[in-house]
Amino acid sequence: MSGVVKAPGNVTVTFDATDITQYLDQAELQAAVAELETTALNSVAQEYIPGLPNWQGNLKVAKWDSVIDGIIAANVLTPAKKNCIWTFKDATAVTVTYTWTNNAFFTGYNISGAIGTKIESSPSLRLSGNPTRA
Amino acid sequence: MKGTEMGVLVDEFVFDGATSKVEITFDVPEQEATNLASSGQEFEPFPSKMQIAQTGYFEGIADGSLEKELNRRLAKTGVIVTALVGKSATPCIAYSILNCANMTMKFGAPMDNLVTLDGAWGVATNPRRGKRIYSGTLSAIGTTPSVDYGAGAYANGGWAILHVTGIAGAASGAQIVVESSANGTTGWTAEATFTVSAKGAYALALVGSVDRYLRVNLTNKGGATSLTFQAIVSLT
Repeated sequence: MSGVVKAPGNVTVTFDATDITQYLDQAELQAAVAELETTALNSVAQEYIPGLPNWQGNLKVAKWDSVIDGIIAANVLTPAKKNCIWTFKDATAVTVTYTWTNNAFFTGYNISGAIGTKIESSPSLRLSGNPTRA
Repeated sequence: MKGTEMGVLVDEFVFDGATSKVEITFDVPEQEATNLASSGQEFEPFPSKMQIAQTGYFEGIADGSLEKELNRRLAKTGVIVTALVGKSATPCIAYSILNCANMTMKFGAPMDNLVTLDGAWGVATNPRRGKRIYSGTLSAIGTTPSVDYGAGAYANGGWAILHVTGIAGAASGAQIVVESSANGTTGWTAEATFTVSAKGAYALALVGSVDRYLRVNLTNKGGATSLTFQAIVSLT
């Protein structure tokens, strides 16, 4: 099948001017649009209009260390909106960029260590408003 | 980094031996700020809260057991808890919550496995990220090796936290001083002086500028043969 791309090397995530891609083994960017029901008494089927998009990012840290911890902890201890940029490169090496300018902050951060596993972390990002897509 | 590089200190207790998992969790509430001119849903962050959860084993009911100490602190504030990450090194990352309480006590009894016991420390308003600068036993007056907190301007003080886990003999007014220096060799300044007469956890606010190199200075054993403790510093 032509056109598909591997994730490694073709996705980047930058938060507050720091490229954090090297720390991640999973990055998920999601826009969810609420359905606003407009079904009326004369409808023959359920009817909806789209609400506003709601953007979130879910990350998984592959190799936790004090550097990535310092970046994320600084934002969760003193929450503030920062820049965040996601890029995806396609099979022809063309890149699409989603940029939030001073509109991104971490809403969740965990550091988990258990017997028989490595230290794991799955931070979640709120991306407020719509991005600039280029 | 292996999961066993995490550790948990609860007041004067090291519960690593009864704990199979530690999880530090931050939750940042958000409030919607979407308005009629928005093209996408908009949000503002609010102050965060931190919780340290531990999953462990039910190993007995005596003083000092996980069960006894979780229960003693259930819904009672005043507890100091520190979760360590990368504990085999000094310094290592340390997350502390001052004046917290145990918010959960959950026994698990599966038919084909051990009895488990979980607790979760929270509701404090002062979560801190810092570094453990010393872990060990001092049996003589003197200083510990200097630790580099890292380059940066620490102009707004912070906190020093002490978990005293063992006293050989009896201590009355032992003094443990946290000191800082700009170069790690000379010009040491006392930043916080702990007066210790019993095992437990202690926290002192640091005021003003603190230099990047830190160490502990045992200046008075208070009559004890030795003191065993872990010292954490969190700078702003």
